Amino acid sequence: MKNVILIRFGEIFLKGKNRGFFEKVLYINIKEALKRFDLSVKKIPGRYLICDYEREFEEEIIERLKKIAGIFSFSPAIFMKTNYEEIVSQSVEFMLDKKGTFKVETNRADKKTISLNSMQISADIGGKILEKNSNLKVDVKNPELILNIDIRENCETFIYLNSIRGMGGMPVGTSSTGLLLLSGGIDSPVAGYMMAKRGVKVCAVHFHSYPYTSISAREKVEELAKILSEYTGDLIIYMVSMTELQEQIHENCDDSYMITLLRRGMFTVAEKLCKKFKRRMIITGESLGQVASQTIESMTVVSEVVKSTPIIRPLVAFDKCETIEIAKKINTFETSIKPFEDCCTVFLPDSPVVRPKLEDVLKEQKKIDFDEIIARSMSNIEVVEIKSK
Amino acid sequence: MDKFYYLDNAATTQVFDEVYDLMRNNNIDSFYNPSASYKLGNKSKKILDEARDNINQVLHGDCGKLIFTSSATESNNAVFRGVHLRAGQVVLISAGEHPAVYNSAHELAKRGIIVKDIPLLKNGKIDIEKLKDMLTDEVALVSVIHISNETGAINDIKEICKIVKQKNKDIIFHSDGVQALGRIKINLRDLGVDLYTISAHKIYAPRGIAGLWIKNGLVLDPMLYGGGQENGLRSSTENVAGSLAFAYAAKKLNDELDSNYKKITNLKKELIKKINESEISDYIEFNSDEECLPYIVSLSIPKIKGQVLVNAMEDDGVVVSTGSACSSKKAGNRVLEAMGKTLDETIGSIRISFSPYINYELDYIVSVIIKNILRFKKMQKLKD
Repeated sequence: MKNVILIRFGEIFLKGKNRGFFEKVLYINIKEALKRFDLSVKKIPGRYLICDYEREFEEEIIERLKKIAGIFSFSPAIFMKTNYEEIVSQSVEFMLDKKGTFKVETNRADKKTISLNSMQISADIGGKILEKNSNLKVDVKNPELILNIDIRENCETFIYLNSIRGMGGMPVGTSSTGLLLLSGGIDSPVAGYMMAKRGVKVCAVHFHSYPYTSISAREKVEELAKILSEYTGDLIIYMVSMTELQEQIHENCDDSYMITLLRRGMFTVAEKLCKKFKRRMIITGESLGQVASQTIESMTVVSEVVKSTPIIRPLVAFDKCETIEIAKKINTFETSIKPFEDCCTVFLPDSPVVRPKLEDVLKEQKKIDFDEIIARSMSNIEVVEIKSK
Repeated sequence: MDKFYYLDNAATTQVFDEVYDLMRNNNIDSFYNPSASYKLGNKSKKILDEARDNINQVLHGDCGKLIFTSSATESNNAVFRGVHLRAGQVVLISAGEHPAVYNSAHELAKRGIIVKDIPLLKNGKIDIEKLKDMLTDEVALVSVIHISNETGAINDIKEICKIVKQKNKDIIFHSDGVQALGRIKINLRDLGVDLYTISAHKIYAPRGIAGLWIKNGLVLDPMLYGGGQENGLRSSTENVAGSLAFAYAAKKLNDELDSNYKKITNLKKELIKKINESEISDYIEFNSDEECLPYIVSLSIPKIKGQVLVNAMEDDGVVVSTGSACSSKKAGNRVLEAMGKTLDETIGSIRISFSPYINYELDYIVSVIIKNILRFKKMQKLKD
C-alpha cells in the first residue's frame, strides 16, 4: 500500500490519433513542474500517477498540479494490490476522522479478483465505515464526501476521496507558440494564462519608456512573469524601449495620436519579434471598448501594421470584473495593482483620439521616421529569462 | 571605460579596501565569541572594547558609553522604545528627521504619548523660536537631527540642547548624528546630549554595525533580550569585525576631517558656480544653502520628476538620488515640504552627495545634468 496522486487528463481525450503526442507533452510538463520534488511520475492506462514522494510535500505537490494545463482533475489516493480485506480496512481507516454525509462508489475494471459486484462492495464497505465512525451518515443522492474504490486491471486498486479540479485545457506546448504583450496591468497576465491553458507556449514582450518609467515598473513586470511562469513554464521577456518613439511623437505629431502611434510601434516590434523568434501569434489583453485604444477603430488602425501574424485577444469580450476574477484566481491581481512610479504621464495626451482613421494616422506617422526608430528599438532589446518556480 | 561617478554618498559609501583586510584578518585570527570564558574569547572582547573606546574618543564621549547596534535605524528605534515614557507625556522631534526617527517616534502615539514635530525654517534648520514655545512641562524627550540627510542643513545641537535643558534638565535629548560623523567635529560632552546615533556604512565601513551613545546615568529599556551583551541593553553575539572596521573608519575620517571638508567645500562651490553659469540656471533652485554641510547638495527642478532625471543620469554614469534613499519610493519629500517647498519642487528634487575619496570630473557631471534637464524641459515645454 502506498500514497499516490492520481491524475486525469483533460481534453486530451478528444485528440484521437494525436493523443500520444499530447500525453507525452503533458508527461514532460508534469515532470518539469515537479522537478524540485523527489518523486516519480508513472503512466497507467488513461492516467498518470505521482508516486514515491514524501507525504509532507503532498500539499505543495497538489498546489503545483493545479497550475499544469491539460490536467482535468486529480486525487490523492491509496494504491494497493487488490485484496478485499485490505481494501475494507484501508477504507475504514481512511474515513475514521471524517464527518458529515458520504457514500461509497465502486468501479471495477477487474471483475474477477473479488466475487462481490460493485453495488455489494459499496454497501459492505459503507456499513463497515459506519460501524467505526458515528460522525458519518450515508446520503447516496447528495453526499458531502464520496469514497471511490477503483478496482483496476492488473490487480491494482485505488481508494480516494473527492477529486480536485485541475486547470483543464491542453498541455502547454501542444498549440504552438505566442508572444504576449505584457504591460504590468491586470489584463495581460490573464491573457497569457488563458492562452497557456489552450496549450500555447508563451513568451512575452514588455515595452518601457525608461527613464520616464521606473525600475520598479520593470521589477513589477518581472514579478508578474514569475507568477505567470507557474502556468506557462519558463518564460522569456523581451524588454523593448519605446522612449525614442514617444519623444519623437511628442515632439512632432498631434498629441492626440500619441497612444495610437505608440501602439502601432509596439505591434510592429511585436511582429518583428515573432518572425525573429518563431512565434506564431501575438497575444494581447485588450478588451473591446475598455479604453480609447481598445475601440474597434483603434484596434483596426493599430492591427494594420501587423501583416501576417494573427493577433489573439482572449479577453476581447470580457468585462473587467470577469478578468479581475481570473487575475485573483491565478494570483497576479495583487501584483498588478501595485502602484509604481509611472513617469509616463508626461506623454499622456489630454484627449486621445478614440476613433482614429487610418489616413489621418498615416499622415501623423509620416511626420516622424517611424521605421528608423523601430529599427533602433529592435537593435537594443534586453532579454530576461524567468525561471518557473 | 565608460565614465562613472557615484554621488550618493549620503545613502551609503564604498567600504575602504583596508577595512576589508582588517575584517578578514579579524575573522580569521580572532573570530572567537567575546562572551566565551577562555582566553581567546577574552581577546575578542578586548578588541571589541578597544573599538568602542576608539569611537568614543572620536565622539569625545567619555561621559557616556557607546552601545553597538546593527543599524542607525535600530539605534533610533531603541531611543523611542527604550526611554521611559508615560501616556500623556510629550515627545518633540524635528520635522526634518530621517524616517528612522520620524516613524519610530510617531509610533509612540499608540501608547498615548503625544508626538509633535518642530517646524523647519526655509533653510532646513529647526525653528528654535517655535521650539521654545513647544517646550511645555509635559515634554519628556526631544530629538533633533544633527545634519539633515536631505539637504545637509546643520542644526546647532549645542544651542538647542541648552535651551531644552534650561527649560527642564530632566528632558532627555537625542540627536541623530549619522550624517555628522566623519564630516564635522563632534564633541558629545560639549553638545550636552543624552543620546546620539551613529552609523558605520556612511563612513566607508560596512553595513550591519552602528551605535547608540548613551550618557552615563541614563537608564534605557533593553532593545533585545538574551545573553545580556552590550551592558544588557542589546543581547546578541557581538559583531567584533564590524566594530573594528567602524572604529578604524571613524578615526581615519576624523584625522582627515579638515582636509576633506576643504576639498568638498570647493567642490560644492564649483558645482553651484558651474550650474549657475549654465543655460539651465533659471530652472534650478538649490535647497541647500551655503551654511549647509557641503557634502550634500539638494536641488529642485520644478515640473521635472526627480526620478526621471535620476534614471537618465545613471545611464550617463552619474549616480545621484531623489531625496533620501530611505524615502525615495514615496511621492514628494516630507522634509522638503516641511521647508515650505511646493509639491513640484519636492517631486522635482535630486540630491547630490560627495565623497572626498572619489575624484570627480565636475565638467562632465555638470554637462550630464545640463543635457538631461534640457531634454526633459523640452518635453515639458511641448506639453505646456
